[in-house]
Amino acid sequence: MDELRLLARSLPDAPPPSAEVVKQAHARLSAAQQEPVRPGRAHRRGLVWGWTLGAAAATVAIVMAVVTLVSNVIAAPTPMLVPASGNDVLLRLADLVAKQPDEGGAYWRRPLLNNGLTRVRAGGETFNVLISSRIDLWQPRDPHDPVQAEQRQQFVRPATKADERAWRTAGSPVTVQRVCTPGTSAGDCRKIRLRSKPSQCVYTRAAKPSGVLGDSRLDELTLADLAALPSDPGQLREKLRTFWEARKDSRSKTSFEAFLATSSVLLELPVRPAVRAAALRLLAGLPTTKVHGSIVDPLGRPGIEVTFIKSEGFAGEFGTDDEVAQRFATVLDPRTGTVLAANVAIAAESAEGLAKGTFMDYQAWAAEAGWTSDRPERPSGCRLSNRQLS
Amino acid sequence: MAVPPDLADPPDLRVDIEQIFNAHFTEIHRYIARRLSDDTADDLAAEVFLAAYRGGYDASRGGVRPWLYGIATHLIARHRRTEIRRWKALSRMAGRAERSDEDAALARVAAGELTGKLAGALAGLNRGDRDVVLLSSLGELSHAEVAAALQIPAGTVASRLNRARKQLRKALGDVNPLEETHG
Repeated sequence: MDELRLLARSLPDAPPPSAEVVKQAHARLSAAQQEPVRPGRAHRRGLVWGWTLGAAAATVAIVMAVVTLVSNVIAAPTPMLVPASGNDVLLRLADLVAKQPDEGGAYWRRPLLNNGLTRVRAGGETFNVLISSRIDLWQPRDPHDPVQAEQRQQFVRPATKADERAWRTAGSPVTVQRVCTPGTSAGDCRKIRLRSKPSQCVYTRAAKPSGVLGDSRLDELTLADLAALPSDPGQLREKLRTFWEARKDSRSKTSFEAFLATSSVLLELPVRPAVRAAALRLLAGLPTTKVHGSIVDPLGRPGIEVTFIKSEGFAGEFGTDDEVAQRFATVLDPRTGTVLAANVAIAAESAEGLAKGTFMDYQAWAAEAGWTSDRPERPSGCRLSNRQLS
Repeated sequence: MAVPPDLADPPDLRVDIEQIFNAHFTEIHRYIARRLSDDTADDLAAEVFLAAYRGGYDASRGGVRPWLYGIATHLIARHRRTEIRRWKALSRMAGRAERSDEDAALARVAAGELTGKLAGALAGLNRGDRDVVLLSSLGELSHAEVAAALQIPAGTVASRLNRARKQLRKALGDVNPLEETHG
């Protein structure tokens, strides 16, 4: 006898459903069986998923105001325009990418911004703050050079001009109280400290002679492995099959088709443009890939919105609302086919303090991403750690 | 926090939904009714099977029961406020249980107090912990089945259960209900 059995015994029981209820439920099920079969999802919320560009643009403008990034693209090719949705957009992008020369440089940089919106309360005002952290990865071409990863909190600020006004009305407090769903324990609903400057910086720096990249979502790969990937979509598919087979034992549940959908990871790895083009072609042919059209990403950059895996029918907590419908998106650079933003959670409905279409949280690649002749300097005011940063 | 997207729907292994409905409708209805209300359960239980049918049964998600309980739990989540109100009301009601009856009623009153304390504790749990606790206790799912139902790691199930158990024990306070309810 323990608490769980005690619960089962003590909580009021319910009478069995009446014959009428069972009959009605069964009738609804039978009616559904008459409908044409569609690839549905168990956790669908039955909403019409729409993308309100106006709302998105408004959010974007604000995010841009707080995150100023300088584009380092020199002599950039003309961005591909997305005339209509459809996976052929990816094929055309692949044509563009395939013509691009291989990039040189001693290091490949992956600067990721992890940003998220949180509802807070202070001085009788309720508003949103944007919490931003950043991880900068420096991956050397030569495995004898150090790999450096730096992680820090960037800022916690009122998210929009209106939020900033509310914050000022509240007396510009340094700490604000998170707004949580009812029933959340105080320990899980802590106060948040606003910060305008980076803090809590931690970094690692060490050579990794094996050359194995930290991102092992496809397999444990080195830059040499990536360089050897085929630039033909069919051959690439077969190569991916070998990765899938290699992992089959530990993740036997994943089908090869499902694994292929995750090959979008290639767009986030330092592969040659020709391989990226092949990956785009491969992905364009998958039934799970969906191009949603043009989008302005959370940092204000034009991109192509695409999804490779299940991306609708999700929900997240926001403020007191425990169930705000969300969809997820990946935003691709319309010139290079690389990822501008991943795991972009977009509000699929409005909630208190949150307009439908707002970016709720996301992982954005800062503009300095890619190959560079620069080398990582030891960051000042940053604690050296032995712990592996991801 | 956002829920990360998982893999695209894998190929469905459609099993006989008719059979699943007949075998599990009553228990799913009961689970929902115990967390929300009979009326709500009438509608939501039907929705569970519709969602199950439309989503298709995927063998990789474990057994049929965890799958159905997972859908039910997800639908219950939309009624979180109702559920919390229910537990709070139950907690208050039990506290006010009349003691006017004779000896025979005393056991019931003691049980009522116990229910009230547990209900109060349930209202105070966060949703994830409450889901794990109620899937385990009312649904009688194992750790592995709860993990499959909620699509969370088994380790998370264990830690949520531990945390929730502590809360329940705290709520029960100095009463020794584990013995009292043996009667």
